[in-house]
Amino acid sequence: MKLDQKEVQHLYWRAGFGGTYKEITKYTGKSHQDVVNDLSKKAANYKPLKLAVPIKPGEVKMKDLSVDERKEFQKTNRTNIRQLNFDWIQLMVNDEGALREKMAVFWHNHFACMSGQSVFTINYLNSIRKHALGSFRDMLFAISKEPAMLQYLNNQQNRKKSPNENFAREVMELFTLGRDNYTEKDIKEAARAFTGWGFENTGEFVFREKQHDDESKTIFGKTDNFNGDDVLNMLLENKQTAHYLTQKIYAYLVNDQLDEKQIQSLSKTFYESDYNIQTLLEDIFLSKWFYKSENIGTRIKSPIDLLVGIQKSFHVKLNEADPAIYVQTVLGQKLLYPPNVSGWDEGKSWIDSSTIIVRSKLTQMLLLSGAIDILPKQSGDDFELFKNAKKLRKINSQLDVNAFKNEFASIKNDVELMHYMLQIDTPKTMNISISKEDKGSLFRTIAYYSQLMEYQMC
Amino acid sequence: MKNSRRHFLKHSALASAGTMFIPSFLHGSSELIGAAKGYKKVVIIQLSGGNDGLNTVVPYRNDLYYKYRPNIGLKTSDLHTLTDEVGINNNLTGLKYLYDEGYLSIINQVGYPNPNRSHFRSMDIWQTASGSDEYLNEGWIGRYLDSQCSGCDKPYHAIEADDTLSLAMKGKNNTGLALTNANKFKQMLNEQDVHLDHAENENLSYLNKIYTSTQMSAEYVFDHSKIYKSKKEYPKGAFGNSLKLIAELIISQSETKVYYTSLTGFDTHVGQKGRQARLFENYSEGLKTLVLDLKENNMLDDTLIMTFSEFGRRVKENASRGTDHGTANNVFIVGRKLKKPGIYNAMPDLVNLDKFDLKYQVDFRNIYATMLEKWMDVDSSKILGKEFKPLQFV
Repeated sequence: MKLDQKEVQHLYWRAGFGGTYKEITKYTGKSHQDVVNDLSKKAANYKPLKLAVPIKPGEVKMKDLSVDERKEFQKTNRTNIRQLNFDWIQLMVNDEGALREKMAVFWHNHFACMSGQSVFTINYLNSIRKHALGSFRDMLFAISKEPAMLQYLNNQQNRKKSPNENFAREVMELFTLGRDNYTEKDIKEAARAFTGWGFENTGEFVFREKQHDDESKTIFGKTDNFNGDDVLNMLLENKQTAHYLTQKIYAYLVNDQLDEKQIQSLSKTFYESDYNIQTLLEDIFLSKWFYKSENIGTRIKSPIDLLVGIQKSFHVKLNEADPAIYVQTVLGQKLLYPPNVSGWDEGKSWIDSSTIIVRSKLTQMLLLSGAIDILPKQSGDDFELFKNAKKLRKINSQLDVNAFKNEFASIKNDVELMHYMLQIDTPKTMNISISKEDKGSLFRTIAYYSQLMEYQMC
Repeated sequence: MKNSRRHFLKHSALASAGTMFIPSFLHGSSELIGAAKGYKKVVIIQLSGGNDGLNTVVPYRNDLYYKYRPNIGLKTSDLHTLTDEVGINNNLTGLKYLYDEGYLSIINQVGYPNPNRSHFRSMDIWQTASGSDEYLNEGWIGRYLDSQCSGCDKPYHAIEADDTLSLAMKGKNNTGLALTNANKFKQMLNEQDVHLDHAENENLSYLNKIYTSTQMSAEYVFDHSKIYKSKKEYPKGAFGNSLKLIAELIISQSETKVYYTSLTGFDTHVGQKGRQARLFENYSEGLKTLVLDLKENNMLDDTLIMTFSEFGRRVKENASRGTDHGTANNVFIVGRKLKKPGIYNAMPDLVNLDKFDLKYQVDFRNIYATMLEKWMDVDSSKILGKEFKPLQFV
């Protein structure tokens, strides 16, 4: 199957954050196998992210610090996490392995978690990025043992004599089976199996045998002295896990209107591959139905899709972490700070009367390094205050003028640009030509299409 | 109000965009004339950061209070006394005035089961009216808009005086409106080109719907903001401005059922006294000015004002003359139609604590239910997800 321009763009948006005009032109007319293979190959290599200020895990003991030192340490951690947020975003913009990061954002939302410890945060994030295209089995085991997650879901407090059910509940409800596929008793008993799972200050997983309940438990109708690993294996053995994950990935990559027949078939292969994520993705991207018009331009760009997409398409870069975090806050998706354990709700939830205004102006703001006259909500937490809110409103960005001009050198008129920028054609074109003589024509045309609601779709 | 109706039609985004057809969701829109007398509305004031309720409404005869708070405990000289047992922080002079007038009900010990001490999470719980073990993506006022009762289906039916919208104001299919300045808000929207011919694309249609209704609402609010300009002096700053905007819209008879605003900075881990004092002055002067503004324009009878914070603070003070995150807290209800002005229920029990935290006695959702049922006249169970018995404050 040869892909036309819109189909290439479709694949680039869903398997990444959109392509540059030259990438799109290059792949137009190529077979979908070739393009998908290429995207997969580029994403195959995993490179860990690093903390801006290295912290040796466990070296600093909070109880040994004075009040001021403690504050300083917490500040370093906050700066680290904000910088990590920014570095990750920049990686999405610059790295050719966009498919890995696109899926990492999905898994971050799936395994939603945050920590005040930057070492825990980076280990968690790298773990998600490492497994993003690999085996879900490996990822589930890895994330379940990440200190960030164990801390977030209070498993450190899950002890033989006083079980804490938080982790056991979320592992079933959010990470594997989905709601209504287990009983309250399953959760109670599984919580006992996870007793003793904890972590050291050094950021290492630890199994505390003394706190583990080794008595027999009855989970999903089976009785034995199960441990945590056994429960995870039982969850993976259940086909419902493959089905639930496939549904979520389908909604993320294809359409939030689920096609149950397609999902059944995908989920079967996914299960048979022992949860190989790459297999599932290729199954989707190599299908014919993925490129059908009812799946094109139907997804509302997430704030991250939008923020990364603009930077990528138009060669404009944010210069520092603060404005990037500011935009994410105003638009409602601040990476590494999910609202709660169930993550962000995709689709329509991104949209309200204020986010829609910022969205429609964001491209212009970035291109012009302009200011957004909107202040983000203050959480009320003293540590999270935007101290320089006024300064932040100016979106400090850098346009690479040469790359920008060069990218669009072959574009002749606004309709060509429209076909690149919008996945849904708009009837309102301007019928103007874009020429080198009229220096503003390219800019004005981009500004015009970027404010349309169609630009919010991918 | 005939004039404003013509004005609205003439200036509405839909009327001016000649080629655009009016989509079905805007048909049968509610009365375009202003809100008549008897049009009930609520104003919600959120104190963000977790206000220390025990240094707000103070049990000044309770030895335990001073035992737990040897440094920051308020003495009678720091208080306006209300009763033989209870005083309020003397920086709440405006609130004392409202109390004396019989316009204030203080509800004590408000909270919810298994309280969460994270700002984010507890605020979400209050804003979505969820239990502490469920995660909802829609706010309770958003669900009120979604319930599509007559007069609660347009964005301008719920207005937040802020730049961005709180979760409380977001429903599944409808959202409220966030603005700080009607003119600026209109300017931000007026050039946009919207197309309504994507019926087959549900998500795009939704975007267009939200944009168009925001545009229309911006016009509506702008028109109403011009009718009455308050001459009262509100405290300087964002909070005072937001109350002024709210007063002007109410007095201009905007058909808005819910107004929302917040004042932040209550996360007083360190040096609480001075900081809380400044915040209280701002809060209570603003509140008093709003009430007088409404009263002088005969609008107080139809307005109910609720103040809450996401949690109270730890009973025991910390080592930095501050307090850490706690649980149950007081809620203030202000209006002229209160059934039980004054102190509505018992002061917090400082003897039976839950690990040094207050135990809640009133679920905040019972307060929401009261406002929805007895003031807004809607079925609260649909909006809150289950039955919560209304209280008796209105």
